Amino acid sequence: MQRLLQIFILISSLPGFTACSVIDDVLLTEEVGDFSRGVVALSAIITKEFALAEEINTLGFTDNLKFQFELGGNPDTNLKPLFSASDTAARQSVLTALNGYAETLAAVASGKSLSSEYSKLVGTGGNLKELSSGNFNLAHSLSFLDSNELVNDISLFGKLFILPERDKKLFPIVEKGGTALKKIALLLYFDIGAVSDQSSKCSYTYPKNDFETDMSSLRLCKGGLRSIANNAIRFDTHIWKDKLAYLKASENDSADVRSSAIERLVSIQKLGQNLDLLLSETQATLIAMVKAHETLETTLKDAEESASPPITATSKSLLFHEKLRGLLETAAKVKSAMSALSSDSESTQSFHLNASTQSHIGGSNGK
Amino acid sequence: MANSYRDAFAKLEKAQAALNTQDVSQLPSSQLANLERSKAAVYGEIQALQVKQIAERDGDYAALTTAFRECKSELSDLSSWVSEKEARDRAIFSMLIKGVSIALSLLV
Repeated sequence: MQRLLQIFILISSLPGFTACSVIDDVLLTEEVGDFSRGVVALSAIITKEFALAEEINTLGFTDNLKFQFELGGNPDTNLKPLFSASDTAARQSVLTALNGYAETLAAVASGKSLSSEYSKLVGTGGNLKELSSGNFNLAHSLSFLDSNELVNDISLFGKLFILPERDKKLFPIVEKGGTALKKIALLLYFDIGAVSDQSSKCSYTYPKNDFETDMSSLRLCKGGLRSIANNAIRFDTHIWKDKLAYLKASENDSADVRSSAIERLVSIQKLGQNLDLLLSETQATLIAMVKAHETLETTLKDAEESASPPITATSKSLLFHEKLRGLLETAAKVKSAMSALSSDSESTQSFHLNASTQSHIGGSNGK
Repeated sequence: MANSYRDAFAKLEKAQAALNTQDVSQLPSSQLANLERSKAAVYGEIQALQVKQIAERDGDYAALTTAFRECKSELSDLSSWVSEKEARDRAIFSMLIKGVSIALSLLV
């Protein structure tokens, strides 16, 4: 018994045992791990959302091209992607930094080696320093000065990755990381934007948004990924509306072709509704992520200051995971709808260049 | 008078809305092809404006995409075609006229 007591005292006196490098609460370790996995999952969804917008843009371009050729037109055949390679790389740098931070927290909490995390993060700090506000969609709601300030603050996030080994304790990292994590969340929130103006000030200036306040109070003007995706959906929708009007006036209107066009028109609009839902849910999940991180910070602080075990899995971290679950479900729906549209585009839903369309009123000269 | 980027964006959206509202069932194929090409160009210009971070939103606007700059001939063709129509037909194509006029005003 005496021997056991000695071992316990010896272990307890090891530096950094309590809430430091390896935290002594299994539940808290799990909570940090859950938070980390949640951030990585959210980051992957955001990456996919930008790719989806590109896919919809390509779909609209393809549909427009087919319709123009069918009409005997002379279309511009050069596909113009929405985002440049540097814009995509800038967003990827931010998301890589976010993932790196989350994975570092999980590694420190579980006492795993950080070397594998470091190898993944090589260059991330440098990439963050290269960021420019011009790579993001912020001008709809933020002044040039505010956009620059936000992006410059994020470049400091890289410093978290160069902490010396002796400082690899969870609480100091979480404490310093909180501000940077919120700035990244803000950047992504504005970048995702709004499908319509959320402030009456939008018609003449920028809404007053304080970065320090609760993100739920942010008011955006129309712009960002939500507006871009909405415009891409609208463009494709109207191609099919025009196609239906064209078929209606056609002498040999085929029921099959019309039916395909109607199905396509409805599917695209449903995709648009689900995609906007996904984007707004992403913004809500970003807010929940920041709040969950704040809770984690408080919990770790309490754990460091008192010997009693911290209260884990608070309502804020639960909310983050709940939002994330909903987000993953919506993302799966959008992905499935997009895949169906893309495959249909290649097969049955094509424009069917046939006799009925060639005999359309006005013929080919139209004069 | 030069348009600012802010004004140009608002005008492009108005042009797009008008062109989208037009019932195209009475348009001959060749003019419908012109319209679809013009709509694609207006769409591309709106997207380019949304994606590009413009430091001076009140600065003088210049078309960002080649497609929009080059669609002037299609827009002019549509405008001429409607102008040649009788008054009753011009009323049918009022939204088309509106959309084409707004888009052309940005390409002067």
